[in-house]
Amino acid sequence: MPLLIDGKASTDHWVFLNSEQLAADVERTLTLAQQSKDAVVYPLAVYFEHREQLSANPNKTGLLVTGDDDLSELASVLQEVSLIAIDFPVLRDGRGFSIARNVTRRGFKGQVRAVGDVSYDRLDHMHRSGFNAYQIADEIYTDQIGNAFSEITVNYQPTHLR
Amino acid sequence: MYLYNNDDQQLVEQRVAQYRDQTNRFLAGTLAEDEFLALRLMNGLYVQRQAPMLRVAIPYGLMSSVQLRKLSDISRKYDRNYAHFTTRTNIQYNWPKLEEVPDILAELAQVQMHAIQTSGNCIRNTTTDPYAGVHRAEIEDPRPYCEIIRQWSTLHPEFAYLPRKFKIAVTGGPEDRAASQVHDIGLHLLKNERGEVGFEVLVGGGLGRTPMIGKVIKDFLPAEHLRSYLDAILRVYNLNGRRDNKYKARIKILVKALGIEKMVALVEEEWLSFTKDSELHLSVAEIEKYKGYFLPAAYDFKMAKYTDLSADFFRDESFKAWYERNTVEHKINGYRIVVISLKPYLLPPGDVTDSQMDLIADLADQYSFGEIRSTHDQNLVLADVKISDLFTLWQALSKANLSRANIGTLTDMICCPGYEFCALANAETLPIADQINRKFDDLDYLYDLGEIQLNMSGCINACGHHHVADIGILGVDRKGENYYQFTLGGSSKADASIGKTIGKAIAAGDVANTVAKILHVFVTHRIAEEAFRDVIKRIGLEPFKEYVYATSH
Repeated sequence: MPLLIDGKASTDHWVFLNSEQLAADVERTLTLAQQSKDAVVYPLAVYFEHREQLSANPNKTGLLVTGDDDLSELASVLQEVSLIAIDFPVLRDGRGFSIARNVTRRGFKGQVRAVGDVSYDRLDHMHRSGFNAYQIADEIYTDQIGNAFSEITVNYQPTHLR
Repeated sequence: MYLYNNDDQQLVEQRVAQYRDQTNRFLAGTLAEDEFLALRLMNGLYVQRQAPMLRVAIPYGLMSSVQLRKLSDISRKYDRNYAHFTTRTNIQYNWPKLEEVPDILAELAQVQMHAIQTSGNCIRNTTTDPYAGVHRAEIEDPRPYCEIIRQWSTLHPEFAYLPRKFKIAVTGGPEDRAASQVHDIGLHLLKNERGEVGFEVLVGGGLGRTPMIGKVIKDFLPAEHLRSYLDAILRVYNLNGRRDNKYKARIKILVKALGIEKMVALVEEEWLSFTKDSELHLSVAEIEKYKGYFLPAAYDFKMAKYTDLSADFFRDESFKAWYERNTVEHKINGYRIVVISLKPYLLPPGDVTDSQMDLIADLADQYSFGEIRSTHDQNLVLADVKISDLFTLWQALSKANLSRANIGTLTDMICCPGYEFCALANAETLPIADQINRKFDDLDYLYDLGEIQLNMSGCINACGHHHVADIGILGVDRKGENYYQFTLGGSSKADASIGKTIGKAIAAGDVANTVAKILHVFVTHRIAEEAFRDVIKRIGLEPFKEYVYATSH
């Protein structure tokens, strides 16, 4: 699945924890993840549950956030991670735009990545809400996908481009 | 009125190109149907029972004669020589071709118009008082603030996929002609004790399946904070509104579930900690810039002495009736506000033909500084007509079937297009409107009844605002037959209230007779010139229920 950063396909250095593995054996999965060289993305709720264990290395720690998560404490962990992945479960669900905005306006400097239903026609909305990376399904990805960011160049809202 | 600068023009042109590309990708099969659905809705295009329907935005109901002529031209070129005004003061075309919509949008862009956010789960066209800037009771002209809201909400990247649609209405004074209390956000312009201008902010009003009156979330919001406060409300809604059930997704359900106190707390926290002092804050200079687009017209103050209409009155009884019903006092002596009735006898409420649009545009140029307003009750307004021009104007309107003197009467009804034109509707509305018109064609009788608002919707979604009418009629389908449920005692004005059902739904053929029975009870109990709503407040619904559902009369 291509990762789009700055309008170009980029190498993904992150591993998303598999929810099936997590469900099977949380402790073992987390220990293995920590021992590996990879940078790892943890579901937000899992991270909170094991925060002491997982908060050691911000550079290789990321969070997967969904609209159903309890977001009240999200601000408190932004210093402990360097990637926030925000899930768009279906086309209709626009919570991710506001989550990204909440993350970036708190000064988060890491990667804010859109995952899930990331379609061409919403890339610019995402970009302007604070995202700077987009995980795009193979069937949607084309070499022209970067055009999505320049279809509308006039913005009435204060810009949150990063 | 507001005039586009280069940026505004570029935005609508880019949006046309973007939508053309989306349409092309859909037609080529590379854009999935469900995805195109969300995109076309955000650009006002529905697919209805018989054909697509395109809704074009008329920001806060204000348009120029040039724009109205373009709307007329589009109806000739791409549709069937007519169009329909809606309760969001927008205009709809019922027969465009899906593949021609990008061309229609390109034509609209030539006259600073568009169809952006006229549908879909986003912030819709902001509505306001059709008498903005010209009514005596006004505190300040609300339109500069409407334009500020229009720009802030247009293509807002964060709020394009809200839980559900979102509607904002603004009033400029104590009288409410914008149904503001049944909007997701209602803004009431007022002055505090220090004379500063601001807004009372209501949240969580709405119609549809669960009609509710909005609750006060802020007693007084200084005007400089308008944009930042709206941004805070929308973010709280976008993150917390329900996503699991579209019938429970409006902000009114969130406000009800949280309670207004909790809603206030969430919005205040968001506003105070982030948006209040952000770039969304409005400087005095910025507000003044927008006010500059809505300065008073170049009135001829010599007209102040021409207030005597007696000669014209005697000339024509019909003119006198029209003057009394369809014109309103203007804040400048010598001028009147003229309401053009789009509720003619036995024709669909809110419809206009291409030639009527052309004529109204010409009359606006001749008599009202080239501007026209659309109203939430589906009429048009020429806001600045010299009293000395009224008779000639009335004659011209009469020739085009545009002078029915029924404003504020029973036949000035708000009515959705119903089953024939809308895929959502369960029941017909237009034949019922005809039935009522046939029964109550005697204008003198209607005048005697005083102000009565009758609204009709063809389904529970309530586009015809039936909940907030003196007499509300809701069409329902029972095993393939249309029945009509009556509610009484609703209001969308300053005394806003939700009407109450009087009993089981009535067969289609008996609707007008039922209206007659309701009016009979009203007239029987009425004291002197008492208004319909006041009689209902005084005697309650029981006498109406008894008489309407009595076994025989």
